[in-house]
This record gives sequence, structure tokens and C-alpha cells, in this order.
Amino acid sequence: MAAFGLHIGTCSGCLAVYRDGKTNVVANDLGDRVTPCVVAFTEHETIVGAAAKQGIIRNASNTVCHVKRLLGCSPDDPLVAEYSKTSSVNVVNHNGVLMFEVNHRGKPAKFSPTDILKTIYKKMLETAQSHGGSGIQDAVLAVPPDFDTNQRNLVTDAATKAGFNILRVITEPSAALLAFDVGQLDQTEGFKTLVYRLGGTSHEAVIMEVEHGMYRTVAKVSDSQFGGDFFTEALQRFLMSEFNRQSRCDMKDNKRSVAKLGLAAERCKHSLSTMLTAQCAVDSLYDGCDFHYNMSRARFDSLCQPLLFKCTALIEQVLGEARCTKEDISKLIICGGGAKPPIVKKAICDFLPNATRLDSVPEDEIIAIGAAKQAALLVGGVESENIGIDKESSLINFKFLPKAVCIKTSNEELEVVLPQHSLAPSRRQHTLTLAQAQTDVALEIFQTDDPAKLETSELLAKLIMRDLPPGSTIKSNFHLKREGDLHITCHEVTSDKYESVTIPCP
Amino acid sequence: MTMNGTLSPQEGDTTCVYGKLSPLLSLDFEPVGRWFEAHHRRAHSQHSHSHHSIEGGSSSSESEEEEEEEDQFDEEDESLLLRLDPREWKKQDHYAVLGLSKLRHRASDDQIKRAYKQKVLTHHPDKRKAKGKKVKEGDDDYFTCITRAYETLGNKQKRRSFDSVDPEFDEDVPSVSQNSKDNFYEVFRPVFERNARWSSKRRVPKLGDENTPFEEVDHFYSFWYEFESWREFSYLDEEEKEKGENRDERRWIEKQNKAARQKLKKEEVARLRQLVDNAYACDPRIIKFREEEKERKNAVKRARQEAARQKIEEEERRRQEILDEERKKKEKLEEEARAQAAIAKKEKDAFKKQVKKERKTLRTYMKDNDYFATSEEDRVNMLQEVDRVTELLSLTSLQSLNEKLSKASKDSGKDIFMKGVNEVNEQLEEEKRKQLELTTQKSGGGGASGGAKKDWSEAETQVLIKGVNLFPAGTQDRWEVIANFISQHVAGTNKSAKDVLFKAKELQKNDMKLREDVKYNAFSKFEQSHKAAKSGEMEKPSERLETVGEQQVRETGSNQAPWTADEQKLLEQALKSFPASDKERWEKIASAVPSRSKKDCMKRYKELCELVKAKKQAQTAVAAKNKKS
Repeated sequence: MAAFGLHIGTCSGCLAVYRDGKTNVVANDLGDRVTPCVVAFTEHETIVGAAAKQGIIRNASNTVCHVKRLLGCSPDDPLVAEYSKTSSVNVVNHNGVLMFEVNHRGKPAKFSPTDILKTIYKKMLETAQSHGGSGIQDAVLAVPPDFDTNQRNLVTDAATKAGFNILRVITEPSAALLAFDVGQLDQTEGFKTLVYRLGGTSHEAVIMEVEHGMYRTVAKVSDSQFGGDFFTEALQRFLMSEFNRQSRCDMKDNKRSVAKLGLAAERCKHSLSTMLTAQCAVDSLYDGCDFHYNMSRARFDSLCQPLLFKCTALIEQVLGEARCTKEDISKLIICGGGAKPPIVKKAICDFLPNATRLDSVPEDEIIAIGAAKQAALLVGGVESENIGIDKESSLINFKFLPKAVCIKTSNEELEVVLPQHSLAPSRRQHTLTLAQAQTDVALEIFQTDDPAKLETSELLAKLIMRDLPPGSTIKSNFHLKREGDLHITCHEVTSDKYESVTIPCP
Repeated sequence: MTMNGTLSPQEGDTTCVYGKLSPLLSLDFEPVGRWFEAHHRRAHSQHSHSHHSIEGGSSSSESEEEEEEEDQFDEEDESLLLRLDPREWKKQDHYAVLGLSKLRHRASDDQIKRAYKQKVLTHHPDKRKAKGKKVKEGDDDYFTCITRAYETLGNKQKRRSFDSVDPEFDEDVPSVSQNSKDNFYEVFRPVFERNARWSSKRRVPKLGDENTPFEEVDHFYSFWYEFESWREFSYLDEEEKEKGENRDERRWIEKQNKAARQKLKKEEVARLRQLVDNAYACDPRIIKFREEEKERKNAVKRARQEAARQKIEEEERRRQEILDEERKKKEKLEEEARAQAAIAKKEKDAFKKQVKKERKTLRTYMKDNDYFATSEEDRVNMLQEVDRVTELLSLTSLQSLNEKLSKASKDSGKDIFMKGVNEVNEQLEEEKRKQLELTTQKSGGGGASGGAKKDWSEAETQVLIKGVNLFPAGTQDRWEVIANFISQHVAGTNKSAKDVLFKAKELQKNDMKLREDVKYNAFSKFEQSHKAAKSGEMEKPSERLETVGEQQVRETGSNQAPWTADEQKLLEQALKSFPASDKERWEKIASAVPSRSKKDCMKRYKELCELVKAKKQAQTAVAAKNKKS
């Protein structure tokens, strides 16, 4: 049974599949593992992906990109005005609904952001079907953590209409954590993880706490004013001045030349992520002049240097919100296509020296793979589907014991029975073996923040058992009930004596 | 977990509670990851979370978890195992053998494996031998059953076929009854949930409840009508394919098995179909949806009918209005007519009164003046004159006469009166003359009856009779021929065919009466004719001076023929001219109407009186009727 993980970002989307115990990214029809989220409308067809992105030079007014930004926006949202500045697509207010106005098949047509998104999902579905037959395409969607219920519903609807069966919508950071199986193998681990995502047009930092193998968002900061495209732009500006120097002509005012150079710069940037030098060549860039430049990574890094502080600043901000220090972060996940340049990763790793960076998966595929893993969990268990989670509630509430419950030992020390943050309800068995001469026993139950300090602990109850046969074993049961009460029963096996007490919860 | 070094209680200590547990923290988690799923499932399945799993030692955590799950396993029941017959392994309940009778098809592969291991540990022949228990030799031991059970359940394919024929499965299909209709959800929900496990598609739609929208209900039924079951009945195969000694035999066995399986599968499909059909029939939502649909259709129909009815009503109303208007108009006209009639009557009355008054004045004047008479005879004459004048003079002339008389002296009064009398007489004469002229003009020489305007001479008539006899009916252009005949024989005639026809008819009519009369007075006639012949001087036989009517009047004393309009006019004129006071009035009248006798006139007058009376009565009756309505 195949299960898919879907991640549609502002600039590009990725599809991963779980099959036969393995998670893999599904390559699209062009063989790319990541599909640009660009939809172009032409005289004859609707194009999605790299082809649409290539065609943006000639068909700018009919090419919709960055659609995710406008999802769920009302027409008079300031975001729309901002979007219109950068995009040549006509955005109109159609009966109070935001619409893109394009020329499609020779006729003017209107598409809502959801329609565009649906088109992208359809493309993804084609990719999915090419991979694994034409059955039900179960998928888990990953969305940004700041998506509200409405936006989640829009995304789900679009994907459902496109033909996916959406099992659950999860947040991108938790998908990133899941991609590396953080806390999944050993649920006793408890630590904080920082997920930094640098996308094309936005970046965000989230601190996630892993506890009992479950993830909890501690703090999140996102900024839609900075992204990977800024690095491309820096490179583009540099190349433009270089062209100016080479051929002594100014191409700033020619939009098509600028767009051409932009695409070339992006390709060059991608190459530089893996190679030390990259060729940037554009034939007939402007006024019949060809452009060729041999870009080195060092030069690119020096261009990026002034931008990197933005990344670290965001991390600093999220640390401040979570009220923790750099040292508290034990694991670091850097994801998003924009974080591919080594200089970016290095800058962040240097900023958090104590954290181990998880880097076994390519940055732009992490989220999709995490989503696929979650999909696998949901598809695998037959019972889990009976439970289900409301699509509206993105988070699930669990109850915890705030302080550890301990019993006092003979050498004036506390032994933890129920550790801090135990989930309610829970049960714990504890066996006491008495010394040979001992015929009676007193069980003193404490609750404490720190088991090492007896002085600060609070005595909750005492259980006394007398006249026990010598060398007896006492089985005690600690039952933390759903409502928060703690019920303790002690049973002496040989004499069959019972003693019980209930500690109430206010 | 064992712990040493427990406290001993101090004297006087008792079990008691000193404090309260701090309230539970509530934190939100991302719905991600296997542990989340596990916790979430536990939270839903009401299982309390065993804390051992979060315990430090990783080795212990697994075994603890096992323990927890083991309470789902059956209690050790050796008697069941001992009762097993290894040769009848196919009939045994494999789940029960492995101690999984509670979990059955819900048991995971892992659980089956663990249960089997557990059974092996206790029931392996070697173990039992070590414990000193009796063990049968080889395959006869019940342990074989355990291995068989694991062989079946451990293999996915085999487990599936065993699950398919699970004896515990309730194949019951609720019937369509009042109970299943009333408690639809209670009755059908468990049945559908039970059968859902056979679905080869995952995510079987739920039955839902009464608030489920139509689309979902529809989806539910379309899913179940197209239900694809993975249930197969290979486990029930009579013979095993592997037992066949050669290929042909195996093939034959395979064929047999296939047929049997197909039959069972067919039954299964029919059973599911029955279930869905029954549910569909009982589903109150379907009934409700149907009713709603019907209601909607009816509403549309009703609306249409209502519209049509309103239209008709509207038309009816309009027509009624028009009718009312017409009726009102008519009433108004009638009213006006009546008013006019009343006015006219009044005027008439007034006129009559005035006339009466004038007459009276004249009479009293004449009386006062002693009728200007000198002698008795004179007086009588004058009286007659006065009567006539008063009767016949019109109002205005009477008035002027009176005025003149009142102004005049006694002597001149007589002159004036005489003048009036003369005037009246002149007037009468004039009228009479005119009338006579008219009558003579109209009736001419022939009888007044009919439109024959031309006079027929005796000769002509004779020729006509002759001609009629000569040319009998059926002759071509008979009347033209007769007309020619007449013109040939009588000089100076100008009778056309039409005239001839008319005259002939008249003659014929009279002829009949004549004949009858002849019959009556045959003798007297004979005598008369005889006398006439004797006298021989009276009449010229070819000439006739009087009309038929006159002749009849003369001969019989009455004219039987109906009154013509001319006769009527003459009669009226006569009635007017001869006042009722006249003693010989009727003789005079009769003389005025030449073709009628006195008796005829009187009779006619009476008839007319009656006619007028009847007419008046009828009119009053109609008026009364109108008033009533």
C-alpha cells in the first residue's frame, strides 16, 4: 500500500511516497524531485511546473506563481497589493473573491487561488499515479504552522478535488521532525529541536519539544519578507553589473533580459550548492550581446554574507520567545530549498554550536518525506482510522502530571514512581520487598519538582501496613486517573492484605 | 521493579492523605508520529496508559507491554486443548487453540506469534514430558493442533481463508419488519459494522444517524450496493488439491472445489445484497428523503394548479363584472323607460281630464244655452251634434271652441257652435273620403283580399277558369301559358303570369266555400236562379259588381273570411265616426264596411275588445313580473 506525503510550498512542491517500508521522493515527469509551483495558461493548455517557469519570460501576464501566499486572502488584504507589485498577473476582485485574470485558450478567464492550487495538486496526482497505479491516493498534507483553519480547509479541499484522499493535515516543522524519526525510536527522549525553514520567499524558525515521542510546538516565528530568492537576487545584481562591465550596456530597463538573467542566476545558485564553480551563460542576453561568467562559490558566499544575519536574527527571536538559550537546543533541522547553499547551513550551525544537525535528507525533500511517513502510519493501522482526528483541530490535547510522584526510601532518598510529565491516565506497578525482620511498612508518597531534593518535596499521603509475615513482597499499583486523581493500592501476596488510598486532585 | 530498603512506620501512624496532587497540565501536541497515534488510540479506547512503557529500561518496556496485551489473551484452558483431535484439525477453532478467542480477527500478526510461542512453551511434548505428563506419540498428540493453528493463522493467505469462514461470524441479516424500522440504527449499525470487515476497499462508510446529509447516505448505499468482498471459501474445500495423485486428479479436485466455492460466494453476495436491500427498505432517512422529494413535486404541482385556478377565478370575476355592468345598464334603461311611461300616462291622464273638462264645459254651455234650440226636434238634433262634436273634436279645437263660445254672446254662440259642428262634419267627411279613396284604390274592383292589384273583368275571369281547366297542373310554364291564353281571348288585358296565378288561387279558395254553400242552399239557389232566369232581366251574367265578400254578405248575411287590414281600417274609421249613442250605429258601421255585415262588425268589435283586454292583462302581468324580479 502506497501512502503519499505532499508538501506544496510557495515556490515549489514535493511529493514523497512510502512503500514497502521505505520512504522516497517521487520524481515528476521531467525527472525532477521538486516541482516548481508555477501554473502557466497558454493558447492551448495549462502548464504546471518547470515548463511554466521557463515560459515566464514570454508569458508573464498569464503565469501564476507564489499562489500559496494569497490562499485564503480577502481581496482587500495588504498582502494582495504587495503581491501585485511583484507579479505581472492581473489580480482582480470578483464578487468579493480574489481571482487571477489570465488569457486562457484565447479567452479571458478567472481563476481563484484554490483553482490554481488544485491544478498543482492534479499535477502531483499525475506524478503519484505514474508511481503507484491508480488506486486511492492516500496522502498527508504538510502546511505552514501559521495556517489557520480556513486555509487548511482550502488546501484540503483543493487536494481532495484534485483526487487525493487526504488523511491528515500536519504542520511543516512536525513533518520535518518525523522525516528524521526524531523521538520515534526511543520515546523516552526529551529534548528541544529547532526547525529552521528557508523557503523561496519566506523563512521561519520553530522550536519543538519532543516528549514521550510526541512533538509540541514551543515557539514559532515566521517572516515572509525574506527568503532564498534574496540570494538569487543578490547574485543577479552582481551578474548584471558584471554584464554591464563586460559589454558596456545597461540592461536594467529591459524586463525580459532581467528575467532571463534571473533564471540563469537561479540555475547558477543551484549549481554552486554542490560545486565550487559554476558557469553562468546567457546567449543574446541584451542587445544581441551574449553573457558568460564563471562564478565561484567563494564569490557567491561573499555576496550572501550580508543576508545571513537575517537567518540568525530569526533564530535568536524564536529562542527569546521560547525563553530558552542556544544550549537548550539539542537538535537542529534545516529545511527548505532556500537553505541549500552551504554558506547558509554553516552560518546556522555555527550559531547553534551545541545542536546536532540532522542532514541525512536533502533540504527541499525533508517535509514531504516526513508527511509520507505520517501517511504510512495512518494507512498501516486499520484501527487508527476508526479514531480519526477532526480536520479542524490541528492540535491534540493531552494531560500531564506536572510534578514527579515519588516514594521515600529508608535512606532518606526519593524514588521516582511516576516521573514528571507522565501522561494521564497511566498506571505503574511497583514491587517492594521487605527486609527479613520487617513486619510492617510505611509508604510515604511525595510529589516534587526535583527528586534529588527531599526538602522541597510535598508529602501527599502515607500508607501503613502492619503485621505482615516476614520477608513478604508488596505489590503496589499507582494509577493516575484521567481526571487527575492518583489511586494507590498495596497488596501483600502471602497474607493477602490490602491497603489503598486515593490522592485527590483539586 | 523491586526495591529494597522500605521505611518502617512510626508508632501511631495510620494510612492517610496529607496533601493534594497538583492539577494536571494540559498541553497541545502535534498530531504526528507513532507515539502520538498510540497515545491517541489509547485515549480513545479508554485504556489507561501503562507507565512501564515510558520506563527507563528499554528491555523491560517491551516485556511490560506484552504483559499488558496478554490480558487480552485467554486464560489457560488445558481441557480445551486436551479435547482436540489432531485428525480433525480442520474443524478446530484456531483462535481458540492459540488462546486468541477474544481478539479473533483483530489479533495482529505479532500477537498470534506471541500466543503461539506461549503455547509452545507450555504444551510442547518435551516440556510436558519433563513435567511428567502423558504425551501421545507423534502426530496424535494435541500439540499438532497448536502447530496447525499457527500454520493457518501465521500465513496471511490461509488466515484470510480461515477468517472468511469464521464460525463465530454472525451472518444474520435483519428482516424488513416494524422493529427494524423503528430501531433502524440499533438493528443495522452492528450488522454493517460486522460485515464491513469483508470489504476489500478500506474506509467503509458508516451508517451514520438521522442527521447524516443525503449525499453521505447516498454514498453509503452506493458503496454497499457495489460491495466488494474479499471473503472466499477455499477453507471449506472438501478435498485438498495437493492430495491428488496425478495431474488429472488434481485438476478434477480443483474444478470441484472451484464450483463449491463459487456457489458459496454467490450465496454470500446474495446475503450482502439482501442486507443492503433490507436496510434500504427500512432506512427512515431514505423514506424521509423520498417523502421530501414527493412533497417537493406535489408542491410544484399544487402551485401550478393554484395558479390555474386563480386564473380561472380571475376570468370568472371579470366576466361577472361585465355582466353586472350590463345588467345595471339595462336596469337603468328600464327604469328610465318606466319613468317615461309614467310621465306619458300622466300626461295622457291630464289630457283626458282636460278633454273631459272641455267637453263638459261645452255640454254645460250648450245646456245653459238650451242647445240654441227652438223646437224639440231641433234640440234632439243639437244634442246629437253636441255629442258628436265633443267626441270627435280634438282638444285644442275644443278649447278654442269653448273659448270662442265663452266670449261670444248667445246668438253668435250658436253660429260658432254650428261652425264647429260643420268643421267636425267636414273633417269627418274629409277623412271618410280619404279612407274611401284609399280603399277603392287599394282593393280596386276585385275582392279586397290579397295583393292582386289589377282588376279582373268577368270575361277575363271566365277565360282564366277556362284556361286553368284547359292547361292542367304540370304543364310547362303553366301560368305563362294561361296568361297568354287570356290575352289572346280577351282584348285589352295585360295580365301577367303572376297575376294569373294569384287570381287562380283566390278563385280556388272562394270556390271551395261556394261549393259548400251550394250544397246547403241547393234548392233555394235553384229557385232563385230559376226566378232570375224567369225574370231574365236582373243581372248580366258576365258582370259582377260586388266583391266575393260583398256577395257573401249579401247572400249569407256574414263573411267568414278573415278581416283584412283595409276592412279593419274602415271599421275603425266607422267606429270613430258613429258614436256609441247612435241607435243605428252598427247598421251605419256595416254600411261603412261594404264587405262585412252588421253582425260581422259587432263580432269583430267584440273580438277586438277582448284582444285589447287580454293584451292589457298580459302587459300588467309582465310588468308585475319584472317588478318582482
